Amino acid sequence: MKALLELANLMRRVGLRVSASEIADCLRALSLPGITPQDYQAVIACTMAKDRLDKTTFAMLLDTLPLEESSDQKACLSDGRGLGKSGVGPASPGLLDALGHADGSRLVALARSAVFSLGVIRAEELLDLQELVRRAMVNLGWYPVLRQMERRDDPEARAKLAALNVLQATVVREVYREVIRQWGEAGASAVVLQTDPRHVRFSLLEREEARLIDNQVRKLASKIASRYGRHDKPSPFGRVDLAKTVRDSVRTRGWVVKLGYRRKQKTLPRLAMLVDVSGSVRPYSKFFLTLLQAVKRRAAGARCFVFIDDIAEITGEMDPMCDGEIILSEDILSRISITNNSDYGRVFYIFAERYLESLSPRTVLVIVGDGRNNGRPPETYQLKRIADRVDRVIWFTPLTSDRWLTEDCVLPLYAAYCSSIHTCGSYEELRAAVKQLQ
Amino acid sequence: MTTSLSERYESVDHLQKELAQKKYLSDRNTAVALYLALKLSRPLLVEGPAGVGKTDLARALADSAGTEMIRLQCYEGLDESRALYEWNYHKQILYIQTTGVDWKQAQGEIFSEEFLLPRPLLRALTAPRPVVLLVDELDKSDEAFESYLLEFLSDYQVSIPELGTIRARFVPAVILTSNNTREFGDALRRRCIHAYIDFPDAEREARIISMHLPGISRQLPREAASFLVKLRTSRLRKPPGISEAVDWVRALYGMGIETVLAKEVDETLPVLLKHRQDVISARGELERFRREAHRL
Repeated sequence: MKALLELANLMRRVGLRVSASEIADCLRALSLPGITPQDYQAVIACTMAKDRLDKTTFAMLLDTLPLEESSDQKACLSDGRGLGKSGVGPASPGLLDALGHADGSRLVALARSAVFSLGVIRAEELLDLQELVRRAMVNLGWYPVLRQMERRDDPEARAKLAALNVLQATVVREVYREVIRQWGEAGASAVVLQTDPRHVRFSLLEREEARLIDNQVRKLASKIASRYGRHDKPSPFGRVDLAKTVRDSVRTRGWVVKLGYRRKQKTLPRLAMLVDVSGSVRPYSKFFLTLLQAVKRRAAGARCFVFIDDIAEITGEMDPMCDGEIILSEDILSRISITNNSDYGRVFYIFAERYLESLSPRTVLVIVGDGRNNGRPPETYQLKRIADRVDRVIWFTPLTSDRWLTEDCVLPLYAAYCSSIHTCGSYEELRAAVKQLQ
Repeated sequence: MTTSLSERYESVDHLQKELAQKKYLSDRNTAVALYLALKLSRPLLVEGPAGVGKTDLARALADSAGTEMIRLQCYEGLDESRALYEWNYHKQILYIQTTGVDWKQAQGEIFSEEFLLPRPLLRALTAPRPVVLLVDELDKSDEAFESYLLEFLSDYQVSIPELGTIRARFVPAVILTSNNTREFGDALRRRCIHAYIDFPDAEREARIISMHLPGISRQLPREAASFLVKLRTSRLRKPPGISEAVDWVRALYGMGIETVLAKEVDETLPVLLKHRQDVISARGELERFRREAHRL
């Protein structure tokens, strides 16, 4: 029970939501007849981690958490040199041999040895766990063996490559375990922040992670699309509309026969999204296009424009019923790119000239881009023209605020005409921004 | 109040075997989650991509327990009149007109169970024996309906203003399914046991196919399953589900094709995939699969 509470606390600290009733359910479930010890992990997962991404993080935590250290783990922890009771020496000489015998326990021992040779992990090293993994792999002699096997094309080499992949996963797990062992909650937070796809920056997501996040982004769309505005409209009931009542009374020579009413009524927002799809922002804008596509499914009035140094409307090309990734055609890319570098000033000018009339004071304009103008004139006046026409301008940028004044970023110049600017480099940041909009 | 559905299964293994007898091969994690849901009298929230057997899980459970499955198909705009109950207005009007009773008396009579049209949720509560209630594609319903379900899911009771609170005679086994198109609130998740069903691995899929097509050779389902696992990792608008896979292999079997490597298989891909672009992608994937098989 103590271990379970410890796990629940840790899950909460790293941002997973676990309620007391869920812990109680889990304890009841664990004591049920018919549940075997090998089911414990599944029991805890289905009672305490109720989201697919939570399950991934939870499994990683459970896998790396030193809740109850087994005797061989303690052996390896002895002095950080990998020379504990497990009797493992330097890794690299034995690596090829271990791979050849496909000896799982030996590979695990090698991985542990390589990880413990990292020694004491410093606070600044928590910021880049991948570097720790890389160092452990170097200690293990993983890279030369990988290159050697990649050069060969025979069944033995293929089997060893598969074993190398397993070994890599083991090293990663052991690094995380060591980080949590040495740094406790801070270590667990660092691990979650750098492995949970919801916290990982869009540009760093692996393909499978990107697919999961894509799905999460679609879910966010329903929140945006169901965010109704409230507008005063004529209605059969509500508060008395004096102007309408007087107007109508003219028809009956000034006699008021019927009262006119108005009331606040729900209306879907009119959304227009202007998305920078230049190379530096593409990994981020991909998710915003997904978001808009999903919004379009619910709010047909949503419009989407993509730009680099010219602009094109792609509203008609977005199939709201399509769940797949939006792939911009070569034709569109060639229409919006002359120099292949973003030019915000020019884009705002063209947007104002071509589309300003079609925007209404109820339109919410969302701009997605990093504001890097490649040294071109920012033409802030053009954004002001647009901002004056629409209800609000909201800017989503992948850059954190400390980078807005660096290099060729002109975002601070545009800030005056934006209702808000949100940093959305990862799913969690995007979610927080959408929440703020509500 | 008894919960005889939970008493029916002694262990996770037992439940898994019973489901398998009804042609549902569940993975261990799903079986554990379902077992806990039955034992703890909690609803089971099943998420996963379309076509992995979420709905079939409820059907298999009902079959194995020898009970009725009541299904509530969710959609946008679903409200309590379609999900829970509705007054039979026509019958009420007819009653008032034909009996000629005064309003005071009529009021007491027309809001009784006789004039109530029970919808799936109420039918599950008032059923004379434990049933399986499937709330299918809950993510398609509105958030308001999700909130409306909370009382039902936590206490297995509903409140009807004219009749009061109606409690379950037998706790139903509730299975909620979702294709992950909308985020559920914490309140709903908290009340449920959660299971995520993903596409099966090649071995389990081959077993599922073989189970549905008795008499088929072992090679065809195995090859088909390995191809499907590869195919699903490619970029498709709609990855093929298990039932589509079974239909596809059935078609191959019916056409006398004994291996996926045969050239004629290309023509059968529309059975598996429902978008033209996907069929084109699958042809390329099939070609790669053949080359790899020949290389080995």
